[in-house]
Amino acid sequence: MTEKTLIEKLTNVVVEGDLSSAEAVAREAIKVELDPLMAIEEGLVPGISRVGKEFDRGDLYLTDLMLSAEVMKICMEVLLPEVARRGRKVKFRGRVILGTVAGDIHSIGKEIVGTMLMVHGFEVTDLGVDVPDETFINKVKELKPNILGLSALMTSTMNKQLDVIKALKKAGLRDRVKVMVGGAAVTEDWAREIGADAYGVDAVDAIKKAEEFV
Amino acid sequence: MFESCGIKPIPVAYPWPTNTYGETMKGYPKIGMFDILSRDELYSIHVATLELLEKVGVMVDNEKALTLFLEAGAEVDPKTKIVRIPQYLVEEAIKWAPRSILFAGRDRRLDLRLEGRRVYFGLGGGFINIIDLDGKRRPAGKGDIIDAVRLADALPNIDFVMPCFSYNTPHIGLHELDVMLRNTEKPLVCMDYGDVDVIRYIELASVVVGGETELRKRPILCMYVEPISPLTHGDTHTENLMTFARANLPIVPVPCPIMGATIPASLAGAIVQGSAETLSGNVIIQLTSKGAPVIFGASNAIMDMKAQVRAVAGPEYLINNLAIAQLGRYYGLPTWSSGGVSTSKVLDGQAYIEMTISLFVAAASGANLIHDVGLLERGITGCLDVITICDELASMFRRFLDGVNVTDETLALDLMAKVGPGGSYLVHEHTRDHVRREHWFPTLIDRHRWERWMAEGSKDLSQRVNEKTREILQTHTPRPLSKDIEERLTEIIREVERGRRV
Repeated sequence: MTEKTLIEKLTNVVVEGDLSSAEAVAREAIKVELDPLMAIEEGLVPGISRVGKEFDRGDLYLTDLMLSAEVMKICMEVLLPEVARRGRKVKFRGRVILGTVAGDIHSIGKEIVGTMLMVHGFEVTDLGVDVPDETFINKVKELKPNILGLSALMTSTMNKQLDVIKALKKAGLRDRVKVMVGGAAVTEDWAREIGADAYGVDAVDAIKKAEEFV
Repeated sequence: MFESCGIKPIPVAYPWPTNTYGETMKGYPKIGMFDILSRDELYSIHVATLELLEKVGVMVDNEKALTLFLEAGAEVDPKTKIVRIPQYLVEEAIKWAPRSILFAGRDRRLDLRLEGRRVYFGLGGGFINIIDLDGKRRPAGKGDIIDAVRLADALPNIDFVMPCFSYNTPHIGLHELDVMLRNTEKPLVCMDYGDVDVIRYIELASVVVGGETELRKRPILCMYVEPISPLTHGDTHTENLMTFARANLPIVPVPCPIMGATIPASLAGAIVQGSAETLSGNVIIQLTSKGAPVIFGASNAIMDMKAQVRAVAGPEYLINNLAIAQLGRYYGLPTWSSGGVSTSKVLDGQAYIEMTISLFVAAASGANLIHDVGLLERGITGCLDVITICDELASMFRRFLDGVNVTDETLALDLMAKVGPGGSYLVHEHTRDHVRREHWFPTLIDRHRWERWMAEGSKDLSQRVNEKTREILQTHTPRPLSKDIEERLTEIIREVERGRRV
């Protein structure tokens, strides 16, 4: 198989959201010693941005976008170690850490925002749900992200967003990272009140704000 | 197409199922919700209808039809022209009428198959005023008919077309049909105005499809012709029934009575008389041409004894439509109904309530041809925006009628096991596939968050509907007829107007 057809194949698995063949296609790329950076930048990225554009236009559903992003993640997991092995680096637009605050186990909203960020070229680390304050702090220290995203669905867990911001200040990290907050009960006013840098009303809005920070 | 007004169409909104030949199977709902009459009640209504036609009879003001009745064994009084039809003749005529009717589009993809519970939506006819796009009420004109037909041609859930508006001019029926033939390829219902132009309707349609034989094979034209309640078939109306029957074109011989004035105030009585009027029309049609296609119905509505008007969209009207559709299926005849109508004078909350409930009930009745979409002020006035919103409602109800599809795959046990407690369904092929297959997406109803809605101009539904109507009228061009055919149509109408043709 030529380089060109394999790159097209990578684009296609992403566009089709073809979960079952994602890993196999990525492994094939490594097997035939295709430049892994080229596989990502010319294969996966054009695929995901095409899907992203069609979603923005309203021609595709959220489920299509999520599946394509999942395929991209699967392929990246295979390809990234190979990029590192060759001593090279993928160019991301910025690094984001995401998580749902302690006491809150809602994940869907954060998952969607994470996916959209990935689609728009960010490197996303998702810490999951019910994340303790100190985990956020430690990860910010370790990964030095541009953006920290804090999700809270309920009025009863919104206060945790403030706690994390306080903890960042205490650790002397507040000016090194932009804090974005989101969640069903969260509002622009709340974001201002707790001293967050931005609030995303939905995933599309979150991307717009994130792009301003990098 | 609607980008500029912020309405983004999704290509596969709610896809039609396809049959084994890959043809689109339009309007084959899985469920029809309401069968409101019991078997015994249906039987009682049927027996009463037969008795009414045999004992009281109908007045038929047409010599040729009276002769046909006499020859077939009915008791005819030559003085009063009252025909008492034997029960066996009414039942025989029901048997002769076809169970399934092809109502063809000029384009085969627009064909409708009238049978069972297949549901289709279409315009009405005869509205003399219009609430125009600026919200002003004024007398309707030819331009408004053109706009209504072009709009219906563009809207994907409007399946058949009627002229919508009417105005005072000689040979109005011919002009209406001419406009419809030039501006849409969808199946057409023309109006009988009780004049002799009906024979020219057939000529116009034949010119368009390439001859009368072709028109017989693929009838693009159906005629709506009302008997006069109570129990009267007028002279020219009857002549026109017979003309269409001989051409083997579908006929809707359906009355439009007022309960308490021209038909009993009690629903059961109204259903019996309405049915008797349609079924006696069917006898005339079948005696003229055995096997001619007939569509059953009766648009009974009460006379509001306070406002002194015919009250469409009221609960009695809705129940009548459910009962009549069920009765039509009992006879195995394709059915006619009404929905998307209102008594409101403007496009306001009252209009939205009445159009929605009437269209929903008609759809859930399983009637085949649901007409009158776009009707305000109980039929005096029409409104293009109502047609546009009814297109969205029709698409929503189609999804509704599709019900629950129960298979191993849709029960999704494997998937639930995979996701497990606390998991997420968002990133699964099953989710993607069933969002496409089972979920309905609106084009006018706005579900976005407050912020996005504000950003797009904080428009209410009426504003969005109005923008979509304007957008369609500015951009949509129906597939035109050939120059030759257009000239021929003009020529025929001109000859009729000059009195060279009858």
